[in-house]
Amino acid sequence: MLSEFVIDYLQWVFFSAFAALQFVAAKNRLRGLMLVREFPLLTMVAALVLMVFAAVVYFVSEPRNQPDGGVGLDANEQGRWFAIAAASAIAVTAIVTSVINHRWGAEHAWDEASGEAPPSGVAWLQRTTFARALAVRVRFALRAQSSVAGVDQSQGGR
Amino acid sequence: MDESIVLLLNGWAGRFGLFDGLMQALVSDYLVPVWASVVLMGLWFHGTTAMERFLNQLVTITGALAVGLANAQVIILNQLVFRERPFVNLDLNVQFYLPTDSSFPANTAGVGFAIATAVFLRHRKLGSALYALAALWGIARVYAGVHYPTDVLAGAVIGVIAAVVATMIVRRGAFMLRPVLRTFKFFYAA
Repeated sequence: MLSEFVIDYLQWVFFSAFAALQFVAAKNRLRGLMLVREFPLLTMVAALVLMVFAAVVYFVSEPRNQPDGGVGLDANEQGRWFAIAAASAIAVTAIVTSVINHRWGAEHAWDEASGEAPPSGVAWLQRTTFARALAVRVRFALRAQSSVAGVDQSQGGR
Repeated sequence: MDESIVLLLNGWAGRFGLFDGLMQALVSDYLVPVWASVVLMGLWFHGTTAMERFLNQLVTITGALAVGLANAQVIILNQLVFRERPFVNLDLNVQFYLPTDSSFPANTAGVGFAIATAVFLRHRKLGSALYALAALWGIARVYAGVHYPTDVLAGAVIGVIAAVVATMIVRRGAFMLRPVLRTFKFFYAA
């Protein structure tokens, strides 16, 4: 069972990481990762405000200077909980923005009929959503695998 | 000299409620590490070209490694040198819980300056902002009565050394990181 202190820490890190991701997405025009794609400047300002607000709420709600051997977190615990909260923020960002930008992502999706490999890397999220990019990637990989298997079978039949 | 600076800074403690509140947030074990780590996480996705993003991802890895190296140095030094906390020897208005481990060197300064240096070596402005944050963290620790200025100074030097060593290690091992980063790219996570 998680202590209240840990839960508060997880919430704070989650919102801070979420805000940082929105800031970076807006700055780099990764529109597939943005909650509000039309307003990058507003997104950056809102992200900074959210980061400060999350910290204020964390520190004002309870006394946070607690011994790390007791209620507080030592360096290892901090590292572990930070990683979990930050990874959750990344996952939630990818899922929520994929849903919000679902239609927009379809308009700019990769032309699978071309038969070429889809681009890799986060830059592709300037043009589509994470879910669409991943789906295209998986389909391409499966097609490539089945065509290799087909070639193997036809060569084996000769 | 060390003691007089502690007395001077700590003399302001408990006078202004809002200022004390700000300092207690700043002095905590959480604010600076979380914000600095969030900056490192953000750098992972930042960049307009593939090469720029790759170099930024190396900064993220360097920052994490530098924190590990700085912590290791502090742990070793803590075993060799034990210095009592300022609140043990001086009459102070302590603004923190009472740690029992060695005051020298300041682990917090080590961590803060390690991340700041790792970032500064590639991004001067962002690195400077993190240096300012790390320095404020160190000053807040002196203000709170849990470190002497020389503890913070030693921690800062350790952090800088750790980051320089980490940068050298990561630059030399970058070729080994490429396949790992390629896998992340494959799944649109880098």
